[in-house]
Amino acid sequence: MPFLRGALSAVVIVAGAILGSFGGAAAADEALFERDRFSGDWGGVRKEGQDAGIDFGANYVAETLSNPSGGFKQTTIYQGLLDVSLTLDLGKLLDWPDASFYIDGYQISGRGLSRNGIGNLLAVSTIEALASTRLHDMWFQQEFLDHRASLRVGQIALDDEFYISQYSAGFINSTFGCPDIFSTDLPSGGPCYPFATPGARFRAAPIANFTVSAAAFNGDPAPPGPGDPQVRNASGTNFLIGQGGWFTIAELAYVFDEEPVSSSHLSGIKLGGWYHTAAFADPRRDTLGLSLASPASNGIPASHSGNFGAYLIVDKMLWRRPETATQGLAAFLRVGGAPADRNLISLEVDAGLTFKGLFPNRELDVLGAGVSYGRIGFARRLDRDQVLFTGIDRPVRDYEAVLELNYSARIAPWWVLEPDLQLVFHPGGFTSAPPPAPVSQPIPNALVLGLRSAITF
Amino acid sequence: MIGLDRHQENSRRTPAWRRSARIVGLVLLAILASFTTPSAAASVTLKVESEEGLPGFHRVDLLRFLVTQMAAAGLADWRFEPADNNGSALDRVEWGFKLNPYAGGEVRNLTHTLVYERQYGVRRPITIEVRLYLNGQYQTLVEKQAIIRGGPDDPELASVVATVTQSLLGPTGAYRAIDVGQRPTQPAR
Repeated sequence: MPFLRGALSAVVIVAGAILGSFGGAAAADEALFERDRFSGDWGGVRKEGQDAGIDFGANYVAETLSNPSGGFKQTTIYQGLLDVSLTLDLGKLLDWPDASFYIDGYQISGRGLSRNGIGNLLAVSTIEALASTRLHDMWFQQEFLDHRASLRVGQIALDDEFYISQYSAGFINSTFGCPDIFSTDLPSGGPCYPFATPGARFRAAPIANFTVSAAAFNGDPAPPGPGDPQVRNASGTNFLIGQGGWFTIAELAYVFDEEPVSSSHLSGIKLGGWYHTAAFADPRRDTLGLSLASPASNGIPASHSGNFGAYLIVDKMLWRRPETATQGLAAFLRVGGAPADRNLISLEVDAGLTFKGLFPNRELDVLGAGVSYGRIGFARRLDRDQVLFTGIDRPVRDYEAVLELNYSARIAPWWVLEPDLQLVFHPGGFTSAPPPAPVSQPIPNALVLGLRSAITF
Repeated sequence: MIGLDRHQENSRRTPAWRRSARIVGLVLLAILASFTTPSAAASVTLKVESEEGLPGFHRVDLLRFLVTQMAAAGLADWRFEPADNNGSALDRVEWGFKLNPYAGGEVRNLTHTLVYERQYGVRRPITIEVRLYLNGQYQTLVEKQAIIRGGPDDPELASVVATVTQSLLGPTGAYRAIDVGQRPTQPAR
């Protein structure tokens, strides 16, 4: 049945896109499958707006994902994300040179597979979030020094510009976007999808191919209180400042291989570090230094002042097809670490290969294989303590890993279809399955099959 | 008689002076003509080359685009054609494009736009350098910085190509400034 529902959802996605395309064809001023955007140029209105400094954008990502085996429940989900954006070029509009304003909002529908079927940490979709309509980014940016530096102030998302691998961005699993070491370890998941939070970002490119970025964000994108942070900040309009301390991050990026004709970045390296000023609870010890699993414990976790981490990202074009800009075999590696005594995930390693233009006449399609590994910090020691003190056999968390195979088919410049397969190992880090399963039973490894459609309007 | 003789003598001498003047004039004209600008002669056809590419264009498309926009500058004394091979034409214009360091930043892209296309859509600062060669000899260059989006539909790119063409070959451009022994009236930026 889950398979049947999955197939049905897939048909709905494809049929919807095709039917929608015929609807838009009526206003076509160029061939439907040759336009950059599905809705075309709106009879010239879009271009006039851009020339005047006003640029509207809209993307709709729809997907169906199913776990025919594994997880705590076999199910099939449909999830959608509509992202609507407006960019204002203030130089054109107000004669304010090199200044811009950007705002975008999300309409999230459906339900997530990780939350409702698998129970894992490395969420299987980059768009998984509670259904809501919310503000995302809203910032003002001023560029200066001949565009070699810029300052961005407002509501900003961390995963707009930091910790990004150009070759991992095409995968569907969320950890290849905003890494799980952030979305799991930072308060409320940090300023990563679906959150953005007040902050400021400075970026400079003093010499060619070298960029330095630094940002400071509000420490917790959701207000304090019980319940899901996505419910506590349901509309993205809390505009919290100084809530839960401050999160700061800095990143150096160097491009060491650039395609000469298109100036496309082919290979590069990034080195980053971050610091959070809030207090973080120890996952194992109490304030007396005893294990929280001990009957003698006072049950109050020890508190650590601040949190920090570092990361390294390498993107490398291994082989480029002659006389093409970006086709060929590429690899990526992302490694991030944080102290095990205050973080659920203390080490994350992502790696993968992508091949663009593998098949004849499919030059823009990308085939990718990626793996992600997240090591559990001292929470694993707490699990061992629990077995020791209670005498009840239960799984001891150690790691969670994901293997993903993805094919990104460019049907038209505005439409991408992505069949996807994921294997989730040790969901939840090898944690106990929810009742009524016995506590000794871990959540089984999961197989995930899916199809995503992404349309640029 | 005397007056008549003088008149006759004068009338006899005048053709000789005129002949000399004509000869000198023709010689001067010939000398000057060898140095004169093409604007005073028939239009010159310049081959358009670009060793470096520009984001958003294949090489052949870029040359066609440049030729079209250079023609739009409205310089009657010059004609433009895409070059077959770089550096082979005696009369040519060489375009160079260099993307400047850029720190403008990005926004989250949910549709996984490929990097090449993402760069193509972003307005970026660029340095444009154009060199003029006549009879195989380097003449002058014009350099200009601009902000472009890239691609054939970018009005700012089209405008800057026409502007640079004017700065190089127009009545007050760099090449004419050489001709009259002055520096360009418009700064190269």
